[in-house]
Amino acid sequence: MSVSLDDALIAQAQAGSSQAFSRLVAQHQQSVRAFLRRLAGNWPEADDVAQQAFVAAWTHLARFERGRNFRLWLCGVAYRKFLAARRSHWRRRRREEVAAEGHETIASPDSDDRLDLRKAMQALPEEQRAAVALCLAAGYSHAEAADALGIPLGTVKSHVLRGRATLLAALGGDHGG
Amino acid sequence: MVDEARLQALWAPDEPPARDPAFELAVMQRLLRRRLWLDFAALTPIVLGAGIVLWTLTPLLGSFDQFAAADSETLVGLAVSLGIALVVFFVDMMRPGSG
Repeated sequence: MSVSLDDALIAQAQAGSSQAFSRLVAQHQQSVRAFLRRLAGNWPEADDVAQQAFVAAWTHLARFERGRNFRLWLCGVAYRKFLAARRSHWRRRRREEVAAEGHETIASPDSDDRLDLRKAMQALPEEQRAAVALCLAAGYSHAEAADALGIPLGTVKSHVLRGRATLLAALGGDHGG
Repeated sequence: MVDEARLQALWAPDEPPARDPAFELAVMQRLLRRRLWLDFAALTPIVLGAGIVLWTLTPLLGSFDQFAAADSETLVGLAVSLGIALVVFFVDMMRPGSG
């Protein structure tokens, strides 16, 4: 999606247009959900957090600065929502329920490698996992990930390097860098 | 680079479809619910303020009750006087050159 079209929709949404915001949701849901799915390791939980993140984004839309990457900003909002959800006791209970439902709703069986990767991802610290999901899986630069996650650039680089090595080791590949 | 490609291939199935109307609808429903609560929260001080105003006006409303309970001859007299005043007012308005 072009940045100028994003800007136009954002301006309309900031002026109160639900229709414009709905189009923004349609355009960016794939990236935000994919990021959260890799972060959470559980699709139903990730989609639930993604919905909350979009509502939070709508609430704080006035704070969005023009010229920034809207998709990355959304990923940052989603990351903070994810952390808040993980730290909430009520959410933890709900997550267990959703996870129980999720085992039945994930249609395609995962390969051994995918299961290994998911387990290895879940073993990473949350911040490291988020950096890996943005840089290695979604292809964002270290600087963009640092901006979205609100952490220093050097920390992101370190997270990605270590995370990559851990994941490749779990998959039995070369992890020398 | 081969390792990155392998990781990306394993992550690929995590991508949801490019268009997902069910998800979009769910978000918009949550959004509407949120808006409703925000509207409710915004109206609450107004409703509370109106309640306080009405509460402070209670003595006046009480005296109106007493007035309404007065004898019917007084009320009829007042209604007739009001009616005459209105007729005079409108006749005066209809008069040519009244402005």
